[in-house]
Amino acid sequence: MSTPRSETTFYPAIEQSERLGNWSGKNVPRKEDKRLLKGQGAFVDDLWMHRQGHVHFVRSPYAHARITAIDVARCEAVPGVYATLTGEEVGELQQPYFQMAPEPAGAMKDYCMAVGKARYMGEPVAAVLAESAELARDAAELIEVSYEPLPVVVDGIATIEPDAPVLHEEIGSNVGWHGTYDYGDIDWAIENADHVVRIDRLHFHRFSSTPLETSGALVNWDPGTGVVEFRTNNQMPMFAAMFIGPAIGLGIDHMQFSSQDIGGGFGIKITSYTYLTALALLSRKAGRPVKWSESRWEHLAASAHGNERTFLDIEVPVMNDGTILGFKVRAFDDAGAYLRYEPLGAVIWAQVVPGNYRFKHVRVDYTESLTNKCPVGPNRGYSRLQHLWMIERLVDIVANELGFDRVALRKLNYVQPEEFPYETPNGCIYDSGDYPAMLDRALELIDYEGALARQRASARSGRRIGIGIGSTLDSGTNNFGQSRIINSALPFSGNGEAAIVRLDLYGEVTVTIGTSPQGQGHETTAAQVTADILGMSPDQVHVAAGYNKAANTYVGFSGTYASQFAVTGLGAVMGAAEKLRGEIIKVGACMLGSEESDIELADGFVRLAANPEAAIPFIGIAATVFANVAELPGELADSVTLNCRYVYRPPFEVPDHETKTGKLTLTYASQVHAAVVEVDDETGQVTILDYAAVDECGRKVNPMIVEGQVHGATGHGVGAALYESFEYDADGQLLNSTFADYHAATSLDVPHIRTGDIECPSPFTPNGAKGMGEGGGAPLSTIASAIEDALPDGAHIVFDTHNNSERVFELLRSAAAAGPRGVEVISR
Amino acid sequence: MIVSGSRTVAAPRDALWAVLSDPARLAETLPGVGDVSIEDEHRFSAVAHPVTALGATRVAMDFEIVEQRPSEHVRISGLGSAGENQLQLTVALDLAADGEGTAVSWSADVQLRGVWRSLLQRGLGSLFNEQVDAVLAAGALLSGASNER
Repeated sequence: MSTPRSETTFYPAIEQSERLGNWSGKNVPRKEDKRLLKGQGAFVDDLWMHRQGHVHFVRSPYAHARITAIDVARCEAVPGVYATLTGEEVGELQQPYFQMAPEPAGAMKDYCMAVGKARYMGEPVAAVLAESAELARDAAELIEVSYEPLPVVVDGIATIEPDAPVLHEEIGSNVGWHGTYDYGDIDWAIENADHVVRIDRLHFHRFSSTPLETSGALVNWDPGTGVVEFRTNNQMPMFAAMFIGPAIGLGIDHMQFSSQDIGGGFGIKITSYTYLTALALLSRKAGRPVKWSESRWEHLAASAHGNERTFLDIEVPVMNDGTILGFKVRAFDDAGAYLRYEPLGAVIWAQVVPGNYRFKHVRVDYTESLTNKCPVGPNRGYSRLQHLWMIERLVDIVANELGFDRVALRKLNYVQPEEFPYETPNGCIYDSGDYPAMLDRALELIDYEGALARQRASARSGRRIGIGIGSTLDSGTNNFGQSRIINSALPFSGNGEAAIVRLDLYGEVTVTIGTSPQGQGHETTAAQVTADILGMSPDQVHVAAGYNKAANTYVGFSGTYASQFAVTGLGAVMGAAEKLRGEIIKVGACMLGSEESDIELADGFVRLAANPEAAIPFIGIAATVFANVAELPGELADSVTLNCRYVYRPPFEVPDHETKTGKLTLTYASQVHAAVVEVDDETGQVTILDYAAVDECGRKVNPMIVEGQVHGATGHGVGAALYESFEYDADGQLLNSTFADYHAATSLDVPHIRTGDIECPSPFTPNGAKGMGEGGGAPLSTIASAIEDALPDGAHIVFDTHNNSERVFELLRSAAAAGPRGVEVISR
Repeated sequence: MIVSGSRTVAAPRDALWAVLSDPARLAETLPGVGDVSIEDEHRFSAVAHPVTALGATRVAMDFEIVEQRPSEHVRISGLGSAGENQLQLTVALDLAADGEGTAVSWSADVQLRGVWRSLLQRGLGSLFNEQVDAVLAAGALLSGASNER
């Protein structure tokens, strides 16, 4: 049974299921955990194929160098070496990847390995296939590569200067994309505001995710069928297929992707398609399966990093009562050496143009630049993270500079609960939320009044206590039509996901989904909604682990990314389960000689609602359809398969390329965090004393899983704020490419997190849920806010997302230096 | 990275010079080095097996004596690689008589690339100076003298 929702002015009416609730919303133990906790998961490195070889990539030690020669003779002469592959060969075997950027950056020639020259330290220049991983690694050292070093550029702003060394000659500059987003009338707002706060520069640093399992694949180009099997932990396989297929001449029908367990992804496993291409070519050349498991340093140096972004010349018009009218800014996003997923980031941020606020006038002049650094990839909170951090910084700075209370200023400017669904200046629709209530809850969890008292007391004792607040959005279920804002010629729009729910011969219910989960518990939540719809227990629902293209549960956007499974994935499962329910009822009604309306499903039985004793177990339904079908009327037998496929499609339209407006995302989960920190005046060390994370993600399917993701995202953000930062020197050498010096946050670094939540069901989704899991941005804002609150009067503003002890030490000393503070206020 | 240092070696300057300016004998002074191949009087190659945080690593090095003033000055360049890692150096040694011994000062521009940059850069100065110390000590021995700081 489902009920039509009242139609909003923004989307067509949708139906929300009323059958959810028996299992959905409950803390059902994760079905996956039984095998994972017993070490029985199947990850890429656990896989094996007969005759497989192992791959090692030879990588460039230079950040920018012409490759003048590669000699593989000594390597190939080693017994046990099956084959090698060089960039020169790749240049002949592969077409450059399709580019999402328009011209001139669209002319970029990007291959799976360096062809002609290397553009970042760690870029693959050759590959070796050998009978063992150790032999491949040792033999790789016998490959002689001659380089001619070239000038290096690592600064995301300096790189667009005319005299900067050009990475891609075919583009002619290092600009990957440029455009201006202009909503409302920011010039009018600045001219008419009571105050204008000008901030010189804010910088969002480069960090990444550190999944327990690095990238990897077992790839076999079958010489007989021409089918290439990719057993890989790539988290968006159909996206990978779109790049790999045209590049090496494979149709989708000749690419078979599968995965089972994936040990974390966070977005950065999306762009592993370059490695998959190289593995496919090597497999074809050697005539045998090839296996590659990325080492940790390869992952840190040459997989994908999160986007680094610099914001310049920020102007914020503010009225006397604290109303912030908007802002303008020049943003420079450093994509690294190639546009692997970019320039999508140049529009993804626009899903959250005003952040959590009612800003009406916004202008963002956005430049995507190229540097001799590792290419970026989507990293938890991709592109919105940077923008939302900048907004939270400017709100704090406005409060501090103009003397507003930071809590009151936020509450004044937040989108108010009664304003939802809320239309942003660029036409996005925030579906639901209550940010003031979330802020109240976060402050309650850190005992805000008590923290203020501690802060006052600490001022007398010489301790520096700071209180910070951070608000973010986690927009989920992309409209891929937003890609047309950056390139009107791109053939993408909308979104979707597929699922199959079937009743098998002995009455088993099996669910197959098009997603590639990396720890999000899809098997559990898919079982919960299926159980609700079919009237059974989740224990009786088998959800196939992982992704398998052969199961035919995929669309072009299939995968697990961008906070959407609760909507797209479960939307597909619900649709398929409803179809199966309808078929079961049809068959049951026929067998029971009743009307369909008299039938109910409960406890794995089809039964008469008025007489539960008249019941047929699911096995009876299945056995009849599959093995005793002659007993059914022909028209019924022809119309049921008990194998029901459904594609969920969000109700999107194509955004407007000219005005850069449209509905870019369906749901908006939100997070408000608060923290109390102590800053050591002598060393700059930051200690988190209290931390609260309040999350809102619509109707939760499994609150325990949600809380786990809240913890993970918070830990990720804390790590980035205090410990994790990729540091390159002027030569483009990554200075911390191992866990010895890139300190990924551990449980010892993450404080006790007090979690809270409120529930604001989305009116736009079939289950009221919102995508979630990308709230890693809130700690970046919260900790920056708290550090700034702890600094002495006259100190420079906190201008960076990464605030290690050294940087905080410098901020502490900046007050005494009485130099520029990075901000000025013009009041009228 | 620029690394510099100095020490006094208890070997006569000319005797020490004879070792440092001869590729074959110089190669013998390099710690952990084998498979030396002399190309000519200025060039030689060798394979080193330094132990780093990554374990024992095989580094194929090519050296060239690019400048020399007998008994006074020698400048040697080297380029070595191990997989994606690379070591490039230019080291200048200046010798001066110091009583019966030799005062040696050195200055080197050492560049690490790849994961070595990440793991070894911070300790490079002391690592390199240890290596030079070892070379000079071996050089002193080869010249027939003992050595001391």
